[in-house]
Amino acid sequence: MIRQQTARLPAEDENRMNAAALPKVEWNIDPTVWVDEHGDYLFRYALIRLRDEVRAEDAVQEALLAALQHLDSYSGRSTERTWLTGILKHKIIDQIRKACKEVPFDTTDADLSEFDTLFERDDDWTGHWSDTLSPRVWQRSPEEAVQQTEFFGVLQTCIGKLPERVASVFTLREMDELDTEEICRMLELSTSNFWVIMHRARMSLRRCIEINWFMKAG
Amino acid sequence: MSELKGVENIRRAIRRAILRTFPPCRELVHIISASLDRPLTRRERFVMRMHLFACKPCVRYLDQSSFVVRALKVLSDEEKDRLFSGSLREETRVRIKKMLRTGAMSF
Repeated sequence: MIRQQTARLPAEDENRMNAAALPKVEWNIDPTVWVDEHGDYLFRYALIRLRDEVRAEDAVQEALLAALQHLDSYSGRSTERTWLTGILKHKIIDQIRKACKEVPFDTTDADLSEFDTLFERDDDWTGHWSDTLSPRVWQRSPEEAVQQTEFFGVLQTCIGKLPERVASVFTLREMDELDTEEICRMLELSTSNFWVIMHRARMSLRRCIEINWFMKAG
Repeated sequence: MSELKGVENIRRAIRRAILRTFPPCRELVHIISASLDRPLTRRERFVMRMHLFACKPCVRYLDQSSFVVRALKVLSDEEKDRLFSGSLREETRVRIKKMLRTGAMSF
């Protein structure tokens, strides 16, 4: 926080000078201040959902330009940040929709064969968890994990390892809480593929954070 | 001592019988996943309850998968922003400001 504030000082001076050159917009808003006030926040919001820095930056840029064109949609009822985040959310969903349109649905996205080994056994209990690959008793506290920046770094890396469409479906559903039907329509998915993709994401993420966080010494 | 062992053996036999009777873990994990998304059918609920009674790894799978969902909710919580890292690069910052200024001019 302190680092951000000191970095902001010269930029603010620059804005003030430029504000003089701006025509008087209603409420006298200088939109460049948004970049300093909310830029990093919006960038993180987009990065978590798009998993790519360049795409996240593009989404922030598009959202701020759209906000500027629709200043009249800001009712003042919500905070400036909430208003900008709402616009960004739409831009992100647009980007995901476009990205999924460009890459046709690949049956490997709904392929669960990578988990076959988890249920292979030498005895006559095949189909049940393998002794070595079954879910472990976690060595670190989940309650503490959700308060640590490093944990979320691991979680984001794990989401990033999922195939693009799998990650998009899972985050739209679990983070943005879109309806199943809405996601299927938007990404042109059958309901059965949707369920398989959700299952695949859960299996992969659970295992990934187990290996990379919960079984590692704190 | 041998009596206790006898009880434990019976419990074990019951667990094994349940696991043999109901769908194996490979299928159970699908039902567990579904339970995190939608209401289960009566049959699914029954199968899941019986299996979880007999299978510790599947209980862990359920708990830990629920945790994954919870962690994602935290990740999407705008008030927890301080926990996450990442910031705009300086050149992007300058570029966006420039575009916003040009945009504001055109009003």
